[in-house]
Amino acid sequence: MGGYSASFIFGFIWSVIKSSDFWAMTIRMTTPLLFAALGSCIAAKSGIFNMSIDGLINSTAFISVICDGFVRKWVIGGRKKADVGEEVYNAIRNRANTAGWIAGIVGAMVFGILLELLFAYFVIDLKANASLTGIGANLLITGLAPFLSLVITGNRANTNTWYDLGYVPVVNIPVIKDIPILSTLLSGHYILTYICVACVFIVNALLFKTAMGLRIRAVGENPNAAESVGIDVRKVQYQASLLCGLFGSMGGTFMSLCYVGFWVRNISAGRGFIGLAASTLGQANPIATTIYAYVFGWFDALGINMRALSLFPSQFLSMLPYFATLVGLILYSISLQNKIKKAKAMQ
Amino acid sequence: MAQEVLLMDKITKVYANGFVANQDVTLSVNKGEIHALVGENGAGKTTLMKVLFGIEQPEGGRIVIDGKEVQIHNPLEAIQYGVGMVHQHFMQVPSLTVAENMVLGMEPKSKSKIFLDKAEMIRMTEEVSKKYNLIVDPTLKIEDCSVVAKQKVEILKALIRGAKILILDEPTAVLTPQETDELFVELKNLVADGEHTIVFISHKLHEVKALCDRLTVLRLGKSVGKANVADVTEADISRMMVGRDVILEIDKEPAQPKETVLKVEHLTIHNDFGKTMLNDVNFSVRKGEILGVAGVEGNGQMELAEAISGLRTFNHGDIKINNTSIKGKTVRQIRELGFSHINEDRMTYGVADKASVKNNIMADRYYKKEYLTRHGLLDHKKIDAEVDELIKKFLVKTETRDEQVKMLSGGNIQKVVVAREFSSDPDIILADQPTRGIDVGATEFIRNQLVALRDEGKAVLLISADLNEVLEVSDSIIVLNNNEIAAYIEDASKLEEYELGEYMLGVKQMTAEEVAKVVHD
Repeated sequence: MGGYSASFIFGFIWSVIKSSDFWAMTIRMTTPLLFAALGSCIAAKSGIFNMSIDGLINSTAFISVICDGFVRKWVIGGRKKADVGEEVYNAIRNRANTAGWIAGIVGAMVFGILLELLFAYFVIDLKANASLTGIGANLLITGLAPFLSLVITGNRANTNTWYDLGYVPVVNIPVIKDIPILSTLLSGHYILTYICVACVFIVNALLFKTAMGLRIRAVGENPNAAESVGIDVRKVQYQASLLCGLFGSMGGTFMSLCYVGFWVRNISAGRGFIGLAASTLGQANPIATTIYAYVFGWFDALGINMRALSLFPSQFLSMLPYFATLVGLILYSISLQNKIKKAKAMQ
Repeated sequence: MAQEVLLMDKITKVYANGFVANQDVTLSVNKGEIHALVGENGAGKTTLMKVLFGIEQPEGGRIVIDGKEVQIHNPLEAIQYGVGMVHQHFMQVPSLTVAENMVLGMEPKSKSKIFLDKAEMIRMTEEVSKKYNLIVDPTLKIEDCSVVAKQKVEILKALIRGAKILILDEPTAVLTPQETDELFVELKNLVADGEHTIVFISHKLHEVKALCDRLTVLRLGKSVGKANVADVTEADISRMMVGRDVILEIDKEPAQPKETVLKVEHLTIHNDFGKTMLNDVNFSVRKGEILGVAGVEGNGQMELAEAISGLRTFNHGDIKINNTSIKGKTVRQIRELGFSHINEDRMTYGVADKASVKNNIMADRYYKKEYLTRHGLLDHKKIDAEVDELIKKFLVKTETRDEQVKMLSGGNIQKVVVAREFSSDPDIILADQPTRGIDVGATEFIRNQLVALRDEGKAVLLISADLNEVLEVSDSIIVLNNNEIAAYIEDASKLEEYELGEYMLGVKQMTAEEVAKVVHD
């Protein structure tokens, strides 16, 4: 194998896996998947299989950069270092950066919610097929984002030359940042990664501890039952779609402002779909879904690290997380079939 | 004089397709009674209750509850007027607990107003459960509950929302006899306080006798009588239910039965809940005869049809077509034994509604050698010629053979099914509700075709909920009741409808020897 022995390859993988950097990378790579997966969870619990989630990531990634850029420009307001002095200028810049990334998140949320409400309108009110509408939404974004990029930044492939890279703060956790290994692993991530972990618990509580969650689950499982006790099924599904847009949009923000630093065409690279797969495998349970999302993120990180070995073509390694997703889905459907068979045998 | 709590006065409901489900139906229920609403399938009982529960809007008539005229536009309003419905198919969410299902839509919240108060949920459930002596475990998930427990939850769901008038739509259909007795005790207990009233929908007359105070009879969408249960016998009720008007008479010669084609031996089928739907049933159908199967729906007709056509496995016994057992055979293999089948569910099993007339007619035979060219491709020239001929012969009104089936009227869709099923040269035809919901012209045509096939020496097994059809078309009749054959009438022309009604409703029952005559050779 290209001059490497099998034991060397496994040795290399082992050396990758045992480094704390690799695990920190896993946590980072999982963030966008997990946002998408949490959004899918809520939609799935309300009975909507939301395929538009990948388009959501692609579009909100773009919207984040645009909002970030405009707000920073607006805060700085044309002031130059030479005019106001370095100290004042730096203070303004810091303020602009903070306002920028917050605007990026908020802007993405607003757009994400609108996109998901549009999707919901097609699926709930116009009774369009959810899978086809999802594909339609994704294709729409594939064309719309480059078009808007061309109009706003003059470049349809990326926003790299339009403005400075995004600036989302990195959080150094006190105490932990001074402990070796743990500091690499848990400290020094982007703030969105911590928000993401918090969202797992928020979504879990929302679905299982609140009245709205109870209604979402009831509507998704037996809409007739929900309707017979006076629940407005349509309203609940719209609420779930809105929440899906809210949580999913942060995945897009992470991709552009944190992971890449700017927006490029097809920035999600299918991460929305992987998130959707994680939510399907986890049966829309936020905790189980999170575990699957981390498994996929782990493969994502492994693929990137293995490039150093220049043994496999990089395309092959990029395939790893998708391949893992596929294997996961196949195992899931086998176990589902077995369950059905068992249930039938019981009769 | 008892106080009238509910009056449905001259209710008329016409469905969008023109079907008149209720015509000037009047139902008057007194406070604190158990009122039976009886009638055959399709008599309009369920429609009437849907109108009361706000699921359907009537075209005419008025509803008066507690002396006040009300308009009920949706189930929520019905609940507010104190009307609760216990659906035949439980309206429950399987993965949620009993308590969660109970409070759905009116969830108690904790002090912070954010989270659900699970303890309060359980307390509310236990309170109402104890009050009405319908004991359930609030923490159990619905999917882990027994059928009886689910039914209790369904009743409690209505009670916890303040229902004073409870509608129970055939609640015993899913219960064993012991469970039914237990339910009746609970229901009597419920109305004992004088505050609650029950409308009990059923077509099991002994249950009506055992449980109810008064009854209203519906027939063909009209209310045809009411009575105190104590004043009438089961036979009286059955006569009110099954009276008929002869609309179509079929001209036919007496049957000349020959050798046996279909043989059903000791057939026993349990449904998905483990309930016995057919219990040790034996009969045979011979060439040149039409054997009708009559019975109130839910007495095993559906399971019988599914078993013979290979759509369902059976637990004990055997089914033979031309002396070959169909056990373990696929639907296609069974058809190749000389079987054809008009399914009761036309749109699901009868046709592929988005496919063309041509493809639907060819669906059972396209793979056969005679329709293939020598290169193994479909021989469209030959297929088109045959399809055109069948369209003409079976009077299918369609623009072209390539028209989508769903564009046709109900009667013409059924003619497409019949064109396929009758032209495959079968030895035995299972006609399951062959004319349900179609126009008179198509009905007459299909019935005459069945008789013509019989005269050609085919065997026909006719399952129908339409008494006219069973009595007019069949040569002999078996009646299913209580999941067994209750009667075998060798010469259907000598049978009076009220007598058939008595067998169907379990008022009368033949001896085992008399029933055994249906097994030939």
